[in-house]
Amino acid sequence: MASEAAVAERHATPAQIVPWWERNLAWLLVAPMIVMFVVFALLPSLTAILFAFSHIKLTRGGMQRTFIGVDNFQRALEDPIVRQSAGITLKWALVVTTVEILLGLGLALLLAHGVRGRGVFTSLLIIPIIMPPVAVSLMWFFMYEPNFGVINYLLNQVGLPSVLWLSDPNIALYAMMAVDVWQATPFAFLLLYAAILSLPRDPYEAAAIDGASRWHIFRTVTLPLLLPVLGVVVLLRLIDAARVFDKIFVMTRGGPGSSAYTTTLTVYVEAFNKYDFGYASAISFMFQVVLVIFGTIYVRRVMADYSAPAES
Amino acid sequence: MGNAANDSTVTSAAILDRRALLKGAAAGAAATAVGAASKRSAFAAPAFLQGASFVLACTSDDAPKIQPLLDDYQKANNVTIQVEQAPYNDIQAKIITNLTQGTGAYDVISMDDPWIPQFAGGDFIMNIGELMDKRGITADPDFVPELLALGDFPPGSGLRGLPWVGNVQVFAWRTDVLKDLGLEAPPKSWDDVLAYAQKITEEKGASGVYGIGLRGVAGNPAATSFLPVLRGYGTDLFDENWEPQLETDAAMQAITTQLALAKVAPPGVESVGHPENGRNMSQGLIAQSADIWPDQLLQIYDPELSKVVGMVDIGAEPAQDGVKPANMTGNWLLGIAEGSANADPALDFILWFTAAEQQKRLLLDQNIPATRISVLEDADAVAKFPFLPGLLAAGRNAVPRPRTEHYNAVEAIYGRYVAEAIAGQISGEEAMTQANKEIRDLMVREGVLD
Repeated sequence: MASEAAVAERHATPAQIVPWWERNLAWLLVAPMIVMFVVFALLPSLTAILFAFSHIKLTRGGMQRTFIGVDNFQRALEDPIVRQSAGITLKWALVVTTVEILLGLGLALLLAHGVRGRGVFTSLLIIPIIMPPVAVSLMWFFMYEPNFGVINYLLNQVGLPSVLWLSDPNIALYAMMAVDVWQATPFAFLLLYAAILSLPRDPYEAAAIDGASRWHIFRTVTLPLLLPVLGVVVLLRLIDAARVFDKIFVMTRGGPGSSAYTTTLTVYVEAFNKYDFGYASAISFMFQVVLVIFGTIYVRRVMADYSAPAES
Repeated sequence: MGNAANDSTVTSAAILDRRALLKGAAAGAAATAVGAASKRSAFAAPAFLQGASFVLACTSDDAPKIQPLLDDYQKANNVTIQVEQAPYNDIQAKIITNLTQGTGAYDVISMDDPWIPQFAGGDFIMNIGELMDKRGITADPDFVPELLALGDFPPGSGLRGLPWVGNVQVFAWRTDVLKDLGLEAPPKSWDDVLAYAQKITEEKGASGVYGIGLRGVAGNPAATSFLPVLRGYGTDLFDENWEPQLETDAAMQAITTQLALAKVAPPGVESVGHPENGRNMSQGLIAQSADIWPDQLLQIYDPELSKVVGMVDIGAEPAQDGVKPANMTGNWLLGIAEGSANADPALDFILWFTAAEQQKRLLLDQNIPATRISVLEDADAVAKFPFLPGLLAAGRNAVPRPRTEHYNAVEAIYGRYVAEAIAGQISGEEAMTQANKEIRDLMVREGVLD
């Protein structure tokens, strides 16, 4: 009876018995994440937007901010280096993503079809992903070194002349793209490899019974089934590639000349070489808007075709 | 009811479990915090036994070189010095961010002399001249006056820093190569330099000796290699009213010469920076360079590092007829962050660190050029580094980069355009015209020009 009374009392006035922190446990558990989001994402973003409409002068103990409307945006639209760096960023993102997806898909198909030692090969392929980009960039910087780099050494060994990998404006950008391909292809490979291994076997058995060729099976069975994962990989790689900074910064600082200035590098130069934080924020904001618009359109138009049908 | 009771019991048990878990976690966190605190207090010395403590910010190139001196100072004075280091561009950005935000993260700051106008103009650093006045001391006249004056900004307002690295850009040439080709040393004008460079590359390029070395990386490197050429043609980045001078005839001639020189430099000049240019000289790859600094000279004269010991001489930067030749400073100074809570121990340290004894030690042990006359004339030092009298003469004849708080941005602008021209992206004329326009726009935005 005493127990029933206690239960009844609990049901009658739960607020008096359950402590406040337990009633708000859900909020308490997510609170650290919300605080981190506000402090490290929302406030900096809002500050950057505010800066984008301002002229910033650094002063002791802070900065002097003068509202200048859309001047920074107008300046960015007229600035040749902003246009040039946007073009280089687009070229970088398209080229490296395309190559990485093609190579990643090729490797995934190869290993999925029972190549010997695929366990070892898969483990080796993970190494570039886990290496810090700065370490990767330094490693390749020394490999590309024209006088004592291993790449030119090997070329010379087979009778070919040395190449100025990072000094020739016609080559440097592609040489750095190769580094990105080396590091990011395993990412595409891993996702696509996992997707291929999880594909249903029935369509393949049916196709085999029908006597379909390997190419025909790939085109009509594998590729359509892979498209949802492929779509995600393309989106992730495109956005990541568009934000490239570390590799170019470490290897050539955007050179030779400005031939490898990407948008992120331009933002860096404006912010931390010229200390023009307002202008850098405006370029950064425009870049962010472009990426968000692209991502939204991509998800709505491209990914929507492969998403699960809505429940009726 | 029974069901309700059961439900309630289950819920209650779950609540108890969760509570117990959360309480346990909280207790664990508290115990960890208490443990950490007690551990700290167990090992920390009582406050009255602890000496002063301050933070020194410097480049990661300098940090290992000055560490032996810091160790000695800490031991002798019961002082703790924490060194914050990063590469040149990064430490500059970190220092500026910290000083403007008033974080108090740094006490002593090692500053490149072009930073002084921005740091002093923005009151980012203390007027250590005033601190010295309060102690009744003045700057030692043993400092090279021209180098000491770099810390006085705006001129006459008091010292903001004391020089500790006597960097002066010099023109260096290979005596053996010039003699071998019958060329009179040193070349006097930029016309001479170009003619010599073309001849050397033509005759010795195949054997791996090129006529000139310069830097082509965008920003500070390309700018620093170009400025002596520009000045050698009798103009500068600005006139006395801060009007940019890159669209003048002299500037056009200077960029034409620089691009012609780049063509006879070792292949890959587009990605040559400060270390590469010094290495090219010390390894015998280049026979002339107008962009050699003392840290490189010390390598060039080091038998363990250099292939050209005794074959390199230095002098003033070349200049066209009628133009007074001059060298360029690139000194490093030690200052104190405005608002530092450790100004007194910081000043003690700076005075000790820039004293002749330490300067000599840095020179002989770490190849860091001194800023004091007595050290540059010291018999032991001159015996080891015969170029020191020449370096002192260059320092006495040195001119700083334009003393504007916007120099970082100016350098980033013209340094990029010069690099683009060297890389063949644009013509020299376009580079000067566009750089001039951008620099002028900058000076207008900053309220310097109308």
